[in-house]
Amino acid sequence: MSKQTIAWIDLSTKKVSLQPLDSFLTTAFLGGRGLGAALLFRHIANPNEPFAPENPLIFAVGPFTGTPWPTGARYHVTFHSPLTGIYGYANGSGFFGPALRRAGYQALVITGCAERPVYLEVTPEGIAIRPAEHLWGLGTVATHEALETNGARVACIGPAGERGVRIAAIINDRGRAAARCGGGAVMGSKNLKAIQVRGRSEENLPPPFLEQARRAFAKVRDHPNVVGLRDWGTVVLIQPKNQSGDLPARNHQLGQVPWAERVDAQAIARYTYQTKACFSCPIRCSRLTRIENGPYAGELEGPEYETTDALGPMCWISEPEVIIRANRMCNDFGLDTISTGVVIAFAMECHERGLLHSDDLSLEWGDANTVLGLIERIARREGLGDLLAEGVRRAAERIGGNAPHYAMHVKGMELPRQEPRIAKGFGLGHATSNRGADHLYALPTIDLAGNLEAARHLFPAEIVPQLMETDNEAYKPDLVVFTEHYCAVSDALGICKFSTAETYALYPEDLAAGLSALWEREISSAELLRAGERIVNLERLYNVRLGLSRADDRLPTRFLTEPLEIYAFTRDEVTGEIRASPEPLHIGRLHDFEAMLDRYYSLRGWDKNGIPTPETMRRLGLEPWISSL
Amino acid sequence: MHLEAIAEKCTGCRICENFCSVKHEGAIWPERARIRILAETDSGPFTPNVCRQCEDAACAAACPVEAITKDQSTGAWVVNDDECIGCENCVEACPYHAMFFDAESGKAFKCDLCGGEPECVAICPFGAVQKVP
Amino acid sequence: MFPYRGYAGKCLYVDLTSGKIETREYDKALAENYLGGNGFGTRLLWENVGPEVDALAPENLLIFSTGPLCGTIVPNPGRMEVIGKSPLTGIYGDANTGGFLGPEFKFAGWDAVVITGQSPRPVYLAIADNQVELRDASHLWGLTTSQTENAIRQAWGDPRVKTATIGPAGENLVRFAGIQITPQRSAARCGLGAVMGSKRLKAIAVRGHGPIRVADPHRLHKVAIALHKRLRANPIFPAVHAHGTPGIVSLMDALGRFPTQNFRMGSFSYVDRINADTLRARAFVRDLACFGCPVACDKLYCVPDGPYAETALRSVEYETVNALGACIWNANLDALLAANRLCDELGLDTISAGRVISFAMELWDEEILNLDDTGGLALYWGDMDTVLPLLRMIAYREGFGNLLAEGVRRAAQTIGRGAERYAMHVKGMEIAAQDGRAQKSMGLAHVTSTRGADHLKAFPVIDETGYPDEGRRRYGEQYLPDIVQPLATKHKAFLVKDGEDFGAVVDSVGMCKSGGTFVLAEIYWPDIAAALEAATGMEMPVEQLQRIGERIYNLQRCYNALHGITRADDKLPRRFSEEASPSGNAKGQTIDIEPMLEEYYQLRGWDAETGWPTAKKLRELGLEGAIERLQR
Repeated sequence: MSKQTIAWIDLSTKKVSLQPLDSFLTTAFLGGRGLGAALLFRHIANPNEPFAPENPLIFAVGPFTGTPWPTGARYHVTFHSPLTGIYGYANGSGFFGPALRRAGYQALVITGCAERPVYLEVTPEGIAIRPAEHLWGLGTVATHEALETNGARVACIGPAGERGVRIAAIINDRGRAAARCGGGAVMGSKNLKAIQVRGRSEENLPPPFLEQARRAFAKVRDHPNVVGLRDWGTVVLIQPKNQSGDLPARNHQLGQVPWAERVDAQAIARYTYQTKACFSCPIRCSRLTRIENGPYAGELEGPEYETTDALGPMCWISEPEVIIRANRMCNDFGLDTISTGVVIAFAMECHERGLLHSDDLSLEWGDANTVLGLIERIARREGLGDLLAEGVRRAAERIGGNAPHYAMHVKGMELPRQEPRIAKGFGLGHATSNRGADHLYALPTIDLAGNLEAARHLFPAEIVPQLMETDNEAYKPDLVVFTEHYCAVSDALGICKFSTAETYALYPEDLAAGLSALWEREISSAELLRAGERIVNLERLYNVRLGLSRADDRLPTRFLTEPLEIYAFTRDEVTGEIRASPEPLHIGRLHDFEAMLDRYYSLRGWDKNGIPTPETMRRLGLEPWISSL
Repeated sequence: MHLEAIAEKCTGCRICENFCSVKHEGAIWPERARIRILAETDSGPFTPNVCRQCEDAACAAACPVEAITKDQSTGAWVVNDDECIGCENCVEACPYHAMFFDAESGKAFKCDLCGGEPECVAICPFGAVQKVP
Repeated sequence: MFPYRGYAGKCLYVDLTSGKIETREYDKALAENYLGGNGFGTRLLWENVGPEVDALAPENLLIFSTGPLCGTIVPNPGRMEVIGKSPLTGIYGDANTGGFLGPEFKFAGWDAVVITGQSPRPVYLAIADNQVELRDASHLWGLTTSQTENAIRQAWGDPRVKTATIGPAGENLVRFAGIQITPQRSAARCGLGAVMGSKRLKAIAVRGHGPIRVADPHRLHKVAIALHKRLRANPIFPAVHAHGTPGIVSLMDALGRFPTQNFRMGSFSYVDRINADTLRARAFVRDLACFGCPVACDKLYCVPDGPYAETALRSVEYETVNALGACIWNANLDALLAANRLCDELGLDTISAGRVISFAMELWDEEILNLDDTGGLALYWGDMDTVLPLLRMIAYREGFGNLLAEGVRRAAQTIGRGAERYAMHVKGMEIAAQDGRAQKSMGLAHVTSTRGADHLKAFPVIDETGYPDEGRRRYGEQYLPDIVQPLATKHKAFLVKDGEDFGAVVDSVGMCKSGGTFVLAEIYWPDIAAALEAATGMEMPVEQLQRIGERIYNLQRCYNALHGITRADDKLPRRFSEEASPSGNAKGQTIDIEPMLEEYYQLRGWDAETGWPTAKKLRELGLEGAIERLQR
């Protein structure tokens, strides 16, 4: 097979050490997120200080990254998060991950801090640390332009990461992001501006694997569940979610907007000039958008659903050009669009409640100037932006009063764009995710998508009917437990969850067949899912080691105390006006969150406090890891 | 059908590259031309280099997802954009350096004989590239 | 965002004094009113380089300017302009060049580069798409132009880098130093190489990988295909392709329009030894073309044997065959080619270099110069053993070369003793290979050209042969037969004015006059208007395009007016009015410029006394700002 390498790069001593990959790590943790989890667990030096130079920043790819396996495009960045102070990671797509793998590297473990700004030049021949003073201060687009020479692929930070903005992202291939948890700030704290990868090292993939990959590729390509993503992109979700009340608006005061058609898939399609696929992906969900004229003229990849809601309805922005522009600004500054949108919405609600005021921005709901102005101020840590750059939890603490009630986060991570009172599986998933509120940790879509086939394939027949009832909380824990494992497996293999937990175009046995062919030994689907469980548990242990427990697995009080009214919207035939039904169609509320959590822990083999039991750890082969507990 | 170069007739004007890229990309873009003029010096000798539409195409054989297939009506090997995974195996495999990769879209591209009426053949002032049926 | 396609939409502003490099969006109003190329340069000079600025001072601008059709698919699209105040004439200066550099700027994403200031040390400007920096050129200073290009390409690691370089002539501020442009073409006239040298800018090196986007590719494709077809069907296309510009050598000789012995005669007794057929038989290697051009008039030549064996060069033009051939009474073709190559390497304008030498040779013949004056050089007509070293002496400003490096006007002033009688220039610029006695329109063109004596501003070519076809193709029946008769003066004012206005547009959009627009008389106002609309998305009715041409030309005239140019300067050397031509078709002819000039001023709407554009004309062209400035 391949001679994949881990590179250990110390930016303080400038030493680079290349080592072959330990097969024990890949057997137990597969690669990608799993490898990152194992390495961070072992090598975190100072968990009390996320910006401590000794702390590692880990870039890892999975065994499928950069191969013809469908959606084998992903790379994973693992680090101690400056936003949450706990386990953190971000996952990105595009072409950077494949380039890293094809240059011969499974992982880069970066420690230390360079004296002056640098970038890494990664080739099959080795890794060089190059001066980047001429790049420091540049936006991510300009940085890419400077470094994308001779077919190189780039991942970099923008001004936000340079200034330690806690919600700063890592941007790759110009328009893609490993955005969450503040990885950009960790990179900036090391004076690392960018990583540039070029060149290919020899690797011969086994022909049986290529055949499996070809089959899986056709399966994903032809699956009916990918059609919506291919035709419209992730914004295809906006209309159905608006109808079900799962389109968070006004900082989760509402779950719908009357003007959804202004920002829905068709609205975004009007600005789309081309669609784009990541490496080895037959789905092709990305949109390249362009605004021809006016103050927001320009072009870039995106916006995705999460971004569109975060910088749209969450802030009550209904103009698509403002959202597209805001996306581009976040991209160029290197900011996580989700956290940015949520923190701006937080500021707007604080203003509404009389808790926050700005001299030069209105902070009114729906004010484009506020949104675009705050993005720039957050990126540069100027004025009010300096406070918001700390993330919504710290900002709320500083403001005081009732502000924490309006801070939409779990464990310090800003909530992604699902409404926990409607999408209950997601709500539970946000609460239990080990990197803080995250829709991708579990991605429990089966009930919301009405995917009965997948439900029957994966769950005992007797629970399926109730599991499929979106409002029924009884078996959401079962759904979340399974999907957390499946997502961990996907992230560890280096593939995109749009081929797995989002659409179920591929099932665990499909992945197992592929991995068996690649590694030339039998790996069962059960073994694969156990690896996923192992990863989730190790991530849990990382946080447990820091003192986290059930007390931290909780949603913002808004979702537990305020019910959400969902209306039906219709258009008046005469006036053209959009009207809400006089009575709500549905009241969204969480009936018994604690009961969901109880069942979740029980299914997992964790105690009532959310701590993995010794038997569970033994079953998963994690004892050697817990001597430090 | 395939294209053949008559190198002695080439003046190095690049009209072929320009019309090729306009046809395929809507812009004058030598980096996206499917035909490329190889120049030993600025003043020649020049050789128009273009896909030979090989019977036993190495690019098609190298493609792990069978994204390169022969168009039966023109005889051109064509890259299917929807299938291409951007692995660049075909670029490496082509012995004539006539397969190219667009880093922006992540797809390979090559001469497709313009669907049967090659632009370069029509526009070359001196017949330095000809079509052979 | 810049609203028009065809353009890159951005310009580079480089201050060599501070080293600061700035990107600015292309000015929309400038594009709409001046298009690009020399129009852009003219406007910038007008606004920024007043009469108090010496051409070799840091405050002079040196502008490399492409146009919206440069690099596109219309035929002959490879041209660009270099603009600056000329150190040779002290007035408006520009040099036009073909080759591949103009399109490369646009692929890199730049419409123009505007250079000001003076670098403390020799530098070159390196442009790699949008990465721009000034690099040390101290190791390049002193190298010839091709040595410089090779060194830059080696260091860059890319043989496809395109360059504009100066040679020792530009470094030594020779007043007619030119700039060599990849591939071995020249932006030669007006001494802009000296401006570049005064700024210690040794070269500009460009590599671009991006697209030139156009507004309506489909429409542009249609327009371009039609133009390509018409060009190739043109009756003189085969001849222009076969021989390039040297193809007219024998014809011009028969016309008496081939300046010989410093314009004493108009025909050369040994023309057969240096004409197109001889050149082709002796040294032809292969046909070459500039970017995007179907004419391929350029050739690679290589001297096969003899004392100049292995001399290889391209871009051997009619002008050089005259300047380093007949005009200095040289019939040795090999030596002519070697001298051409030498001028290229040293970075000298072959026309002006040839003319200062023919001037010196006539002075020698008239015994106005002796061995003491020349430092021991005997300047006999046709002595190439002296000419080649003399070219070096000019480039390095050594000995007598230092005097000649000043151009004929200043050299004549310094020498005195009646030397001015033999200085063949208008406004300080040496006259090219035309003779107003043999072709009246050219006499007028030399006088009204805004950069001094120059055939290319008006470029009247339809009256070279006397055949009506070209006149008919361009103008219909209305001006025939006089307009195509070389010795006729009727309608020539119109021919020159129309050529100047149309030429201003051609030079602004980036097309070549040796192709369809002038020599083949196949591409005219409506064609360029249609191409512009399709390429840029600008609305361009023909009248608007004509107005732009007129505007550019008038602003150049205003610029010269600021520098003291009046009707009094619109005159030919007295030779042309006082000495009847002894040659060919022009035998017995002199030229009286005044009647044509009167008519020209009338057509132009210029004041007959001053020769300046009237306030009415300026208002018509939207140049109100010039009215006040000229009054002062």
